[in-house]
Amino acid sequence: MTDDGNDDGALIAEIRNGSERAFNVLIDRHQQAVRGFLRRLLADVAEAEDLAQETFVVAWTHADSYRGDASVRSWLCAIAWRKARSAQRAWFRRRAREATWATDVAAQVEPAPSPEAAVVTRALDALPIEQRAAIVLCVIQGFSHAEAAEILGAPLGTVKSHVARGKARLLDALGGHA
Amino acid sequence: MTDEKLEQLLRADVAPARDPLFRIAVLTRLERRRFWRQIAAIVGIEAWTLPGRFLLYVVSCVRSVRL
Repeated sequence: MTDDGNDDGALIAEIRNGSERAFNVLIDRHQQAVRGFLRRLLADVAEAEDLAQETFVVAWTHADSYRGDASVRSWLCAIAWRKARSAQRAWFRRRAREATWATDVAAQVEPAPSPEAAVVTRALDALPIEQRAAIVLCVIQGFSHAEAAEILGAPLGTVKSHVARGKARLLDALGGHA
Repeated sequence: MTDEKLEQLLRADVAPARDPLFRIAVLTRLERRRFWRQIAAIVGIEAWTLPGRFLLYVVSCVRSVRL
C-alpha cells in the first residue's frame, strides 16, 4: 500500500497538538480512500458521505488512539469500518421495526463507467458486508491481507477466506457476462 | 470470466473525485460539536451553581426582612 507513512505519522503528531492545518492536509490526502471505501460498503451515498465525515471527526477527537503500528490510511479505514458496521446494524434494526422493505437504494448508486462494470457493482453489492469490505480493501484499494485484517479487526485467515469466497461468488455471478 | 478480468473490472470502479467541500463539511461538523459541548458545559455549571445561588438569594431576602 503506497502511503506517505512517515509524513502521515508527523501529521498525526501535529493533530494531537491541535494543528488544524495538519488536519486539513490529512483530510485532503485520505478523503477519497475513506469515501470510496464507505461508498462501496453502503448502498446509500448520502449515508456513506455522512459516515466519512464522522470518520474524520473521530480522527480529530481520538488522534491519540493512533498507535503508529499501521498506516494512517489503515487506521482511518478501521474507524470507517466500525462506523459502517454500526450503521448497518442500525439500518437492520430500523428496517425490522418499521417493516419497510422497499428502500429504493438502487436509484442512489452512482452510475458505473460501463455495463460490464455495472454488473460487477451489482454483484459486489450483493455480497455479505464482510466479504465486500475484504474485496474492496484488498483488490480495489490495494491493501495487503494483513492490513485488511488489521482494519477489519479479523484474523488474517478469515480475511483471506473472505477475499477468496467473495471473488468466487463474483465470478459465479458474472459467469454469464464473460 | 477470469480472475484477472474480475480484478481489472473491480479496479475500474474509480474512487470518488476529491471533493473540496468535504473538508469544509468535516470542519463545520467539528465546530458545531464544539459549540454544543461548550453550551453543555455552561448549562452544567449553571445547574450546579444555581441551587447555591438561589439559597444565597433566599438568605439575603430573609436578612433584609429581619432588618
